Amino acid sequence: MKNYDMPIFAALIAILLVAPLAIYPVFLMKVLCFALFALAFNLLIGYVGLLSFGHAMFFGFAAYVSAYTVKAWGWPTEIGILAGTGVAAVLGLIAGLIAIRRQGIYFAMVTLALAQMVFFFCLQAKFTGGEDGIQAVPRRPVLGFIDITSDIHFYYLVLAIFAAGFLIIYRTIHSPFGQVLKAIRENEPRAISLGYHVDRYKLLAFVLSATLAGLAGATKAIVFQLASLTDVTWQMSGEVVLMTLVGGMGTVFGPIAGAAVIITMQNYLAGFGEWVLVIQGVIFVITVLLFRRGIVGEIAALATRLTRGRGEAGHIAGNPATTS
Amino acid sequence: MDKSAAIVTESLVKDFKGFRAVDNVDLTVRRGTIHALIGPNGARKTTCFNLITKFLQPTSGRIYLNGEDITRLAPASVARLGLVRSFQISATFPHLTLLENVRIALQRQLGTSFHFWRSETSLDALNARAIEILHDVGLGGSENLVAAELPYGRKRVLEIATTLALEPEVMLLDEPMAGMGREDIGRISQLIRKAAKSRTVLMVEHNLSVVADLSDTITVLARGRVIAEGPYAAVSQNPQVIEAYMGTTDTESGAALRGAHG
Ligand SMILES: Nc1ncnc2c1ncn2[C@@H]1O[C@H](COP(=O)(O)OP(=O)(O)OP(=O)(O)O)[C@@H](O)[C@H]1O
Ligand SMILES: [Mg+2]
Repeated sequence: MKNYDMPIFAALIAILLVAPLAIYPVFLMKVLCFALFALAFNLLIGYVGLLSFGHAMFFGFAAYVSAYTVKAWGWPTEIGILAGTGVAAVLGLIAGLIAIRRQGIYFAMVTLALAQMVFFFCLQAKFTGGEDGIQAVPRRPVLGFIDITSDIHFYYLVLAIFAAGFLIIYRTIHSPFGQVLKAIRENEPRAISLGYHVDRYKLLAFVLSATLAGLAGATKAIVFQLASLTDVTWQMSGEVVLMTLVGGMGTVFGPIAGAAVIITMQNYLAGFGEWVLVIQGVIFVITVLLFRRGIVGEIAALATRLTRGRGEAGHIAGNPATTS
Repeated sequence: MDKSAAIVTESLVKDFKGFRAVDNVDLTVRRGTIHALIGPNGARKTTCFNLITKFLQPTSGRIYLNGEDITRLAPASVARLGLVRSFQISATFPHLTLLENVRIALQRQLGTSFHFWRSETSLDALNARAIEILHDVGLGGSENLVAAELPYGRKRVLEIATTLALEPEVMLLDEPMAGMGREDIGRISQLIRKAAKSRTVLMVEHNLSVVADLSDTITVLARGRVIAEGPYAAVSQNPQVIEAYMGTTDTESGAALRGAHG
């Protein structure tokens, strides 16, 4: 089957390039940060089959690191973001080494427990600013000359970061490494019997996922000029699960759609206060019960059905010639 | 210990909760032979395979591959030393194509399996070899089919093709003919015979006429113990073996055993 991923991606980027004409850039930046977060999460659940219930630790902690290094130490924006990303990678390696040998629900529980430890660390540590978080993080010119104080300028930088993150994930899925990941997901014992140390492959996937989740969080801190406890809570870990599920687990674009839907909903429903959580819960249940493949997954399935239907029609049309 | 043997196990023991599944198994598989491991259902044949390939850690005892102690190794490391197994239930990568299935095995030799930044088109260099292997086992021309679409017998052939792609020195096959029709059995027998020309094969198989036909040596297992060993003619006359087979509800094998030596 022909692969339309890259044309779709190009179209998506084209739309995003003009989107600020119609949509508030800060909102778009928020969607892009969460989309990248969900894409990173999807690399693990969708392509390795590992359900992490602690991804907020990478997202939220990276946000603290980039906010702190930029504000307190006066680091340049790009170095601050890289620092947050790097710390998330190291944290991912540590968490991965601890969690990767666990199977199924135990893996989810270990990641949740580790994320809670990170949460309490952030709650207690001095540098995170406790309940206030780190506020008023300055937006210094990127590379010393790209002004990002205006949201619209910064939006294009965030778009570039998002695109780079997407391409890294896409390449990872379509690499020799990605091929081994596929084999592991399909039949782990067989992959082992062919000589693959599967834990090492899972660990690398985990670190990549943590790193990109960190990149998303570190960027978000600069967008909102704020790092706070919200981003390291277990609810945040749950939110990224929800986005991925709603959009379509294991699909290339699903996490982006899921992030857009959830963030939009949160924005419009903000007036309902706590009810947003209830509504999200209902959406979660509906997705699990009725649209198991998620938005993009259902669309892809429909498209396959349609093309296959046409293929069969063609086959039937060709029949008389062969029988005559 | 026999240094020239491909596989040696010394007093291999495996305890599961509350019972001894494998009880002091001493097994020697000579290099270049086809060695069959038979026994009634539940004789722990698969458990022995799992121990030898390190998918299970033995409770006690030693395992040697070409004289090298592999008792403490990880299963993937054992595979890398050239001891590659198949599984009792067919083990393909169901949603990958036949070509990709075989390529997963070939891919290891490129040394790029951790390269997440490299395009997967770099694997196309292996396509010719993969197609050749598929052709050799009679699966030529269907390399773009998805493995799940194959009939059962062909899946097992694909599995052997994938194993052969690693060019393993020792091959462990767990019931390669289970659930197959006569035609497929003939095809796989031929395949095993051909593969065994340059390697050692240890196989578990219930079809005793296949065992009689293919194997140089047979080890009979019952309740986790070796009860007989030798060429088929001798083993099939052994009263303990006959009793082990009769004493089970496994009438098919019992009948086959009687039939084959009667
Ligand atoms: N992980 C395990 N824990 C507990 N018991 C186990 C385990 N694995 C296998 N067994 C026990 O071992 C016995 C079956 O062993 P095994 O599968 O090795 O037999 P087999 O000779 O391969 O049989 P078959 O001919 O049916 O394939 C059963 O009694 C099963 O309960
Ligand atoms: Mg068995």
